[in-house]
Amino acid sequence: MEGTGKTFSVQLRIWRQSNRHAQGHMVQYQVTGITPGMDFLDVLEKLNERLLLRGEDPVVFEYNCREGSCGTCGLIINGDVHGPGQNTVTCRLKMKNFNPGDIITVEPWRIKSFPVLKDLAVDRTALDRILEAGGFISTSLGGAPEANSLPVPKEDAEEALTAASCTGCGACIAACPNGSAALFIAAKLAHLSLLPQGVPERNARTISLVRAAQKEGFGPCCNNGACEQACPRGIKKDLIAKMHSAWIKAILSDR
Amino acid sequence: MSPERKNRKTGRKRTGIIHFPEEKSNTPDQESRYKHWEKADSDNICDRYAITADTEAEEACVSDIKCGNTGKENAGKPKHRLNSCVPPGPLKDKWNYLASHLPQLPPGKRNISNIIVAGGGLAACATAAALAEQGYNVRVITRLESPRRESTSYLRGGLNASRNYANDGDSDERFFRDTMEYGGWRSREADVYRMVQLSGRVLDICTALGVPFIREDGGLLLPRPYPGGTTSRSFQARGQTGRQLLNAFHSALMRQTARGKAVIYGRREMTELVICGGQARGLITRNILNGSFEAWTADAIILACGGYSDIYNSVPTPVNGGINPLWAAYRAGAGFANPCFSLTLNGNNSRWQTVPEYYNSSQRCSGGLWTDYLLRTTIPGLFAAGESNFSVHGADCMPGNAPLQELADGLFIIPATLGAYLAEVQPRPVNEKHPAFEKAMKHAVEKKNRLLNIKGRVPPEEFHRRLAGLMRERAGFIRYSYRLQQGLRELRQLREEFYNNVLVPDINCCNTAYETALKTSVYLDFGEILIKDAILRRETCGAHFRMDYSTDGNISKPDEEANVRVWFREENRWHKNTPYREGLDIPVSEPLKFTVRKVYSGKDYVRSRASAGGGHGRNR
Repeated sequence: MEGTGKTFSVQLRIWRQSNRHAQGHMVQYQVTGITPGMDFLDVLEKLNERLLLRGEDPVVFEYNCREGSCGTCGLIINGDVHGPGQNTVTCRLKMKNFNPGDIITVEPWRIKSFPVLKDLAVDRTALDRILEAGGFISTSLGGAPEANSLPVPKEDAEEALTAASCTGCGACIAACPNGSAALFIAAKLAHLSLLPQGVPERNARTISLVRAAQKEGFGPCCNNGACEQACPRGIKKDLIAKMHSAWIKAILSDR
Repeated sequence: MSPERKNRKTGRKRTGIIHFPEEKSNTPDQESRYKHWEKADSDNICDRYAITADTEAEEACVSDIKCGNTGKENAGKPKHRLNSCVPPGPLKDKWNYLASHLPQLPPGKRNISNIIVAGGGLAACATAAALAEQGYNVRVITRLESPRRESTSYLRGGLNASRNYANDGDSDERFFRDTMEYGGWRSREADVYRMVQLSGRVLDICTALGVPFIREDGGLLLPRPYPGGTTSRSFQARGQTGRQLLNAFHSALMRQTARGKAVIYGRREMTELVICGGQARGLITRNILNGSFEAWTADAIILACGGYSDIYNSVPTPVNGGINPLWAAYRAGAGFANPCFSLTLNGNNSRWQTVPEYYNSSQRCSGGLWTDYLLRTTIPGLFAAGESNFSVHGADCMPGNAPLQELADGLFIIPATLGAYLAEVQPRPVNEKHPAFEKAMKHAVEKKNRLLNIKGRVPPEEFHRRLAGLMRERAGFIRYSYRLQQGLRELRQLREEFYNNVLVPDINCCNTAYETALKTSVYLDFGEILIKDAILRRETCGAHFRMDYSTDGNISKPDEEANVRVWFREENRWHKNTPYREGLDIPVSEPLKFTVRKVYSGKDYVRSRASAGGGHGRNR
């Protein structure tokens, strides 16, 4: 296991909510036997096994890959989105970031458009509904041209790739005081609009994505930059400026 | 140079020159052009598993396998006959021939056909998007809230295509040989050749959908080399190719959902497959959010739910994996091919940095539901795509082939063969009142109640961890006969303990402990066929390394003896009060015939694997 290192204990204050409509509240638990090398999610699992043996409901939280690529996990830990530090992911958070005896507050994403399903799990299908409004390139699968027939400047391709690395975890939205999905949309728009195959639909896409986000109840961008710091993929908020400019262009164009 | 390097059939010394076979050696199956599998009680084409066992332990295993768990005598000969339905003609013309001769459902009828795609990863998104575009009404049933979080997103490698952009002599033929070599010559060559042929078009579609592959300064695509490959044919997106591919095909699917042709039903776990009148006509799923069981009807069902690598529980593998749907299909009568082929220790976490990070893609199961050339399982109306099928076994061993197989299956093969199936069979409408649905629903509820009624003292996760440890230890990448035997015994002990002592809470909303318990109970059954299959496969090939059957590090068996071992299950009754169904797992083999001979020696093969592999997966 982890060798002969000392173990310590922490207090976890966790948001408990039994279903979507129930009233939630914070509950404090003590977890012992923690080593600095443990993952934060391992501590929650440890707590869950104990709760299970005591006959209580285990804490529901989500994860999948445990290495920061899938975008499933996401908690607000001590008020920080994805835990302490910039550009981190919850599943890669280690317990060495905490001191013995700390009281750690664990909450789900707190956004109106992401209703809590149970405890720490939220429903993020609002993001899918935004994409449904136009976050794609309308190509029929049989009619794709030869891959090298459309050259893309290398810088554009790299920038598109950086923007496209968004996992859709929702951290930018959870970090924003306005609950704005601006960075999420801006990344999608930048990805698709930088590539020549996405250019024909650019104006329509910009308008429909922004309107879809408003419809889902996400707020406007307040330019405070919290999203950029929270993003596990390090997507820059410059893209939001580009989105605004694309929006003005789209609105002023004939469409 | 060993004197054995001669071609077994011709007696000629192997010189490394490609031996082109004559046309007629292609073993065309003329009469049954694409007829479905047949049952033939008397005729067992290949029952090779029961050949004389050479150690006492193996003898015991063979007799044990013959007896099954029930202690009853095996009925004797397998009653399933497998017909791979590979069309006639030269290798490179087979798919074109088939695709242009298959019947196709007219667009007017596609509009009234309901298809279910079970799964949510790359294969499922591609299949669903392609079918919806053709006009089918598609329902995607997946375990997570959105397909974009599925496990494809942590594939790092690349996407292979034999476009020869690098001008290093790449061609379909060379790509085909490389793939066969990586898979240890244990894949059906027609399937591999088809995948290779489609690779260029797959790349075209990915680019058109906006996958930002790495490019040269001039703006054209830059193919990269990969470990063990002979040419540069891997198209990558900075170590996140899987994420980019999944995003692209998820967005293609979103386009279809916006059109109303596809609907995604997230947070549902498939637990039963419903067979009406011999055809797969529906599913039973468990709604993760409220714990209720739901019935779904469809004209045909496509399983694209991934593999079973979660049995080894190492990072990064899918947390719940695709074992529940696979096992449901297996229980319902689908054949399960080569369960012992599963790459485990080769998968490397990027944090370890001992190997290029894109080798991660190899952590994949090469076994899966047996499918014929048309990706039909042995149950009419049930298709399997991507990792869920076994068809291109070598695909998963070679970095960059896994997404290629998923996309080729989903974009081209399933849409063609599904239309043919529906045009020929014309399924009659069914509804959830059909007795088969009630029976399946009853079974699902019964299983749940039995799990809840154990009321033991040990959390299910603990059992899953112990099972994974056992599997890694006894049936990992490097395998010995005696350790496999031991593993089988330990597995049965663990199962006994599980059924006596697991603790499952009775919660309806988001009962993760129940999901783990269900998965573990399935893995405890599945692990048994995995180990048995590993015991019976007395050779070293692909992802299966038997120390007692490797001579000098060489692949031990010549091509002529290659086979696919397919397992069938016959279930009896509940075992006492436990959630375990007694049953009999019966192995059948499909012999593999090759018209193309190997050109490399086994030593080259091992060297290429050694340079590519190494390192250790991180265990959870």
